[in-house]
Amino acid sequence: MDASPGPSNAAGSPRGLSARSRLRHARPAILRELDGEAVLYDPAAHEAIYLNAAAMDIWRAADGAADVESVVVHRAASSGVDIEECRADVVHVVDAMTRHGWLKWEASAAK
Amino acid sequence: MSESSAASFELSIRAATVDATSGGLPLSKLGRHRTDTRAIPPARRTACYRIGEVEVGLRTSLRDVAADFHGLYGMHFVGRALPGAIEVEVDRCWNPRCRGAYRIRTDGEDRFIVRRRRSVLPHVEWAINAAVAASLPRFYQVHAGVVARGGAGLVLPANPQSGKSTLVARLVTRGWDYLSDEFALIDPRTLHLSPYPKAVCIKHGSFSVLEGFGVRLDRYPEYDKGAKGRVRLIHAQDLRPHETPSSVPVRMVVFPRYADRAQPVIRPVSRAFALFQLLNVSFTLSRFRARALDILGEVVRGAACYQLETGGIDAACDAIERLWDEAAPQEAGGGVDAKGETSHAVDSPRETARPGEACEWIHA
Repeated sequence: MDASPGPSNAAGSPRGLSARSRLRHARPAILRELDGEAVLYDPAAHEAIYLNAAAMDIWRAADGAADVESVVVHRAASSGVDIEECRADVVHVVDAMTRHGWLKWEASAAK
Repeated sequence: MSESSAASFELSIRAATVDATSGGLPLSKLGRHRTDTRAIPPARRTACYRIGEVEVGLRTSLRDVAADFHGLYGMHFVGRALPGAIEVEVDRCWNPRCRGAYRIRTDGEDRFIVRRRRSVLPHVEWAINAAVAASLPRFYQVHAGVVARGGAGLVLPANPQSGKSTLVARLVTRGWDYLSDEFALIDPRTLHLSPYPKAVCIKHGSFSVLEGFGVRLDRYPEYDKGAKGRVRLIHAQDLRPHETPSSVPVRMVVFPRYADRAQPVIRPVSRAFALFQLLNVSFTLSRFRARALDILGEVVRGAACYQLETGGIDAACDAIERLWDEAAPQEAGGGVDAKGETSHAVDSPRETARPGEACEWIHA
């Protein structure tokens, strides 16, 4: 997870996203949970998105205080999935949800 | 990719609305706002029909158009005015740009202008469908075929060209009761489905399929539905005489998609994914907004949800009926195991929907 040129680096990380980046919601949205998955709906923009269990976990963890690495650790602990796989999942979700305007991240002040 | 992978989670939508203007000729090119001083005066009487929950008043001086419509909906004719009915007017339009084309209006607004007589009836139907969303605000409306058996409903939500009308027609001939081939009308209070038993609109690509299961299409005129091509309008009671259910709960939701294969593929989808897909084909999301999540969320909570790639029509119906008979609604549709992962196994749609590749947008 580094800041290599282009929209994504070789590992698939969005440009500028680092382990210390703090994740937050980019817009208000209503979450409707069903059986561990969810639909997220933005009534103002009139858009919706489907989140599987992993994506829902990541959305919920993105409270503006949590950084990427802590979300990865939380996800690995809660799902029992290998941490590297969780890391790839988180990067993928953050990338996709950022591109569609649901999530945003801020670089951590502490380097 | 693991079941937990988030790499396949997303699709995005905007609201779907009925496309009321994409058939016939563009109104903008035909002097939509001109005063038509030479239009034939409409007949004074309005023929009123109650087609399930949808009330229609047809006013036209064109007797053959009135006869065609009555031929389809005569059993729904009511002998008195219906104040809240969708008002449909069909007349000839004689301004220089129309040159005798047929003008179809609903509730005072131009919907279509079509040049050929054989284009009129399917565009009248289309105009009515476009007006349904506005005329029935009490219902949450989803673009779907709906049939019922044993007092419970099967919803087949899909975008156009998915084969839902053909599937509905075959299910009716196999003993299911018809509610609609286009609208799932959901009462937000009861979550039950109400009927709109319009004529089943069969496109030319499915003519041979219907003939294959014994429907005599030569009994039905062939119409021209503009960009959608040749169609036939078939009364569901001709497929199999039956009583239209007045209100049924949703027991199963199946999202059909036509695929050119011999055998159908049917697989469970999670309730969240089903909810998302229902939003994607909703006509009234813009009216209900956040409440839509509650209504549809409760609908899928009580239903078994599947995705179907149709193969042969009878094989597809066999698969649906087998699941219908076997599945207990509360148990199907994507359980969750102890780790919080969805328990239904392979080929769930989210595993094939990768961000950036499977983003589906429907424009309002």
